[in-house]
Amino acid sequence: MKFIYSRQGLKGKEEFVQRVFEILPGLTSWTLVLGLIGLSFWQPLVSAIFVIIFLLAWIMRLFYMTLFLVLSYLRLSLEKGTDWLARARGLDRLDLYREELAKADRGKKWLSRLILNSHLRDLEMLKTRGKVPPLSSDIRHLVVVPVIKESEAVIEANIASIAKNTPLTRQIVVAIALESRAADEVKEGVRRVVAKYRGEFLDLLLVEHPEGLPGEARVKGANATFAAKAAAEYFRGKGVPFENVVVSCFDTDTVVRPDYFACLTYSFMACPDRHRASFQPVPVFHNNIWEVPGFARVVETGSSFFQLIETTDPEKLVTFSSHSMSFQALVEMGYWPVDMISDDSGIFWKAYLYFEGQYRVVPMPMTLSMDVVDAGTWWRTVVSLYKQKRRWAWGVENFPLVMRGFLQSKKISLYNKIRHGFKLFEGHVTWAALPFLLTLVGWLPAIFPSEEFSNTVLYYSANRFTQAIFGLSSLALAGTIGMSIWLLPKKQKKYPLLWTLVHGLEWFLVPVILVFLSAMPALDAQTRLMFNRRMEFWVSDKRRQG
Amino acid sequence: MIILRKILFYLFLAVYLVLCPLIILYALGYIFTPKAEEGFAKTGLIHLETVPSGASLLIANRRYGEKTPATIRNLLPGSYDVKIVKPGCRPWNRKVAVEPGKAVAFSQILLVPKKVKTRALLAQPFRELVPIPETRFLILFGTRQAGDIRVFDWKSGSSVPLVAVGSPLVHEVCERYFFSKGSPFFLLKMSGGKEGRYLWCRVDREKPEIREISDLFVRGEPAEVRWEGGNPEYLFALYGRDLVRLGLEKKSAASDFFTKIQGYGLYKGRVFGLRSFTMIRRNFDARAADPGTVIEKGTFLENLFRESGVYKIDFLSNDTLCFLCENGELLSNELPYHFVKEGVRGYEADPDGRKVLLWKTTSFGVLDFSRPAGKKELFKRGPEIDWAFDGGSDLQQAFFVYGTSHVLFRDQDGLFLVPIGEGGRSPREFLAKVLGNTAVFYSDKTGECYYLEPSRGYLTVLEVLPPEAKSLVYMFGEKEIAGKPQ
Repeated sequence: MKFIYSRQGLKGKEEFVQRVFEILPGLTSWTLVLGLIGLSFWQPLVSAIFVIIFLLAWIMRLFYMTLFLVLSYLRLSLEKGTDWLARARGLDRLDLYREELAKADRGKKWLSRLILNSHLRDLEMLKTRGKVPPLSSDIRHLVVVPVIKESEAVIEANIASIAKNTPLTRQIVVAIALESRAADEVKEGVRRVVAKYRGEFLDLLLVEHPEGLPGEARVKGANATFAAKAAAEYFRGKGVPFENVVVSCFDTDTVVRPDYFACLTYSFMACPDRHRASFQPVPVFHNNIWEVPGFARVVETGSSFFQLIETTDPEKLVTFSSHSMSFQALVEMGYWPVDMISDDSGIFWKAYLYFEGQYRVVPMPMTLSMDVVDAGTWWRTVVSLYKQKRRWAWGVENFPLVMRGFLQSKKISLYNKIRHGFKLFEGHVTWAALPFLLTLVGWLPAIFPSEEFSNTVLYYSANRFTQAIFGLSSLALAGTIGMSIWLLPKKQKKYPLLWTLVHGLEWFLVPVILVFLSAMPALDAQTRLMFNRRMEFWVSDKRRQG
Repeated sequence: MIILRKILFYLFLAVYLVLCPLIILYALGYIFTPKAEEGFAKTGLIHLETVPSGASLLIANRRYGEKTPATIRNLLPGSYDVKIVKPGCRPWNRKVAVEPGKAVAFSQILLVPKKVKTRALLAQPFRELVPIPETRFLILFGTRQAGDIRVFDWKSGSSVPLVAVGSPLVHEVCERYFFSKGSPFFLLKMSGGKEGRYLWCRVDREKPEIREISDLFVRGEPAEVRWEGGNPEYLFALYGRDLVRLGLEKKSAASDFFTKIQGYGLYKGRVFGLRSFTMIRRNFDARAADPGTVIEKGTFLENLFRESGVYKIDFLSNDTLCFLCENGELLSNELPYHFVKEGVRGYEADPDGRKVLLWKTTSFGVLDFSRPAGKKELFKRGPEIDWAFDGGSDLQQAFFVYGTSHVLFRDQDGLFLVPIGEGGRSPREFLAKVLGNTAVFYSDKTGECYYLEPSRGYLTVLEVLPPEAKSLVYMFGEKEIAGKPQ
């Protein structure tokens, strides 16, 4: 579908529809929060009923998500030892490989059998659909790393981790997308890294993105697109067909595992609709997790958990942060949005509309690690985290574009339009409003009861219900604490037992964090969108110690 | 994973869709009763909190496992006999009407001990107890001789003689005394001489300080003397309908401070007077030529006040005034202005000055200025007195207890406790016999009542509030404007 995934140059009805959908999320969030505050005083009885509805929905959701967090974690743990390269090579000779696997000893452990069965199902699907993948040795990886203010240490950690992906490094082209407005020391740092690692890959390109190109905003997507276009020229020159190229757009602080590209190669090959899919690893924020203040650790562990849960629902999964996709699809749809801050999720929605709903995200059972925001001091880290979350929440800018696209599309089914539209809308509204309802508004009818309300059965029941819900939620919290202990990387230095316990107690900051570093930035972003106050891309502060 | 996720999603959704309405209905009080004639019924509940806590409950002769504080739910509408029992305490019985969807809350039940704790504080006989309101001092008269008067500090539990042993004043006889609330001064009129002697006593010192100020009373014995604060500069003495300002430092008397007044009151350095249906005001230190500021005038006040009436003006707060006429008529500057036609013997306000406890010979009631007026009333009516108790024989004093949840009152020589605000009249609990014809004093801060024991006249203290109730009362505090140790 020819749909310009941008709000620029809109006129008349299109502009009106865009503004309506820009206002809708913020208006709904504010109405929910202020409406329930007002109701708490004006109609406490109605407010208390709403609180029960919200709290029950929240606790059900919490248990549901905790369940999938555990399942997702289990899957990740089980796939940890997989030889992805062997699997990818196996796909090169699909029929033989299937026969070998069918005859192979499946082991006594039911979990290993489960994994093998899942792998066989992938092969079966590939065979049935008849979408033969290119040979693994013909696949080329393009890695785009946008840089603007990141330190040499952060960039080098990224490139070094890619360089450890032997023996695939000779199939990898790294394109460092450097903003021309970057500071001189950043540019020098990039040049040193390029010089050091150029020989490690098939090629290492340094592409400098000039400022102020027509139609572009000062956003990461514009930089990545410019580099991807340069890479397209490079592949054309080398005679590499685009359908054999997998492009990954990495945040600068990304650190991949040594088998990341093997896993990506397999995922790309095993996907029958590989040119209509993005490949999403699980981003975890572990690089400097033990070097940041406790609240930042809790915030980002929560983000990692959220992504883990999201991967269990591929039908609704949307690309986030560092992700990969077919280069052919990227070129065909016109690269990343060049005027949007949330280019990571924007690219999925742009592709979904361009391919009229024939596009999806394939979750990869692989983590890649990024930095937790660290601005040096406690307070600056709070501010930096707030701005980062607000930038993430600015992903709400996709909602009006997606809805306009849905209104124009004739081929996307109504069911899919409603399903995706509702999830996008509900996700953002819940993000901004629910923490306020849980931690503040929900208690108002009980804290400031009118005389009339305090003489009702509901007043006593609501208090009891709220206490029961928070009791139950502490169970889920205990599960989350346990998961965080398993999932987080080992501490580099030994801490006394007491300090470990204190780390566990950090999770009790959740109610405060939910309001100040989750709901407030989200509400801030939605309010800005509501009033048409656009945001500029703001790069989070990240640093490495030592 | 997708299929599992879908199955679980629909499972969770189904559970939610079933649970949510059920929980809401239950929260509103609906239950399903197995009896065929009832089916779904909307119930009510009773919430009970006692001090001391941990009491057992019997509702409609059914014993409940919960101990107080407890909320008894799922009660079908109707009348229930509620009984609370705790070993060592008197049982608490009420008939409670439960309405559908409504909660009946008794959140401040004081369980009175079967044997009330009392102890003698001063083992010497006294005839008269005079508490200085809003201070920590009680003046105790053994006889009317100055040497037999003691000052008791209920906060520290110490007492001192008003006049030191060996003082020439020891044998002088006190004819009258005056005090003002919140002030640690006590004015004694002693017999002797032609017009008697006036002694100005400061009682918040280690040894009370006494000085004679008889020179100020050139017009003879006043009907009333009032002053304000911890270090007053002026006294205001009422002679007939004239108010005379007596300067303690300047030793002067301004005889024309206010003339022909029907009543006066002191508040924050100003004297307020009622004259010819006009409210006037002057600063304590106003010059003689200053006529005073008129703050209210007109026929409106003519309709409100009686020409022959003499009123005591009292400020409950910055905005609320009370006018108590000598015949017991009670008025206020707030709607509906007229509260009681006659018979009010006295009143006490809560620390915020928004609730007033007033008593007549056989009854007492509560006037709640904080209760908001009904929004849909065509005529603004203002608060009404809730007569919480009737059936006394000679009520002399009453006090709010445990915030404003109970009232302690002296009826003839008996001391009683009654809960208020429970809807309907509650029975009174007898606490102790006291010496008649003299005052008692209650402090909600200590939860103790001080009185003279009738057989020997000892100063005795009675524990009205159990220890766990006092912590709550401490949160609200008690007025103690003056009288703090220097």
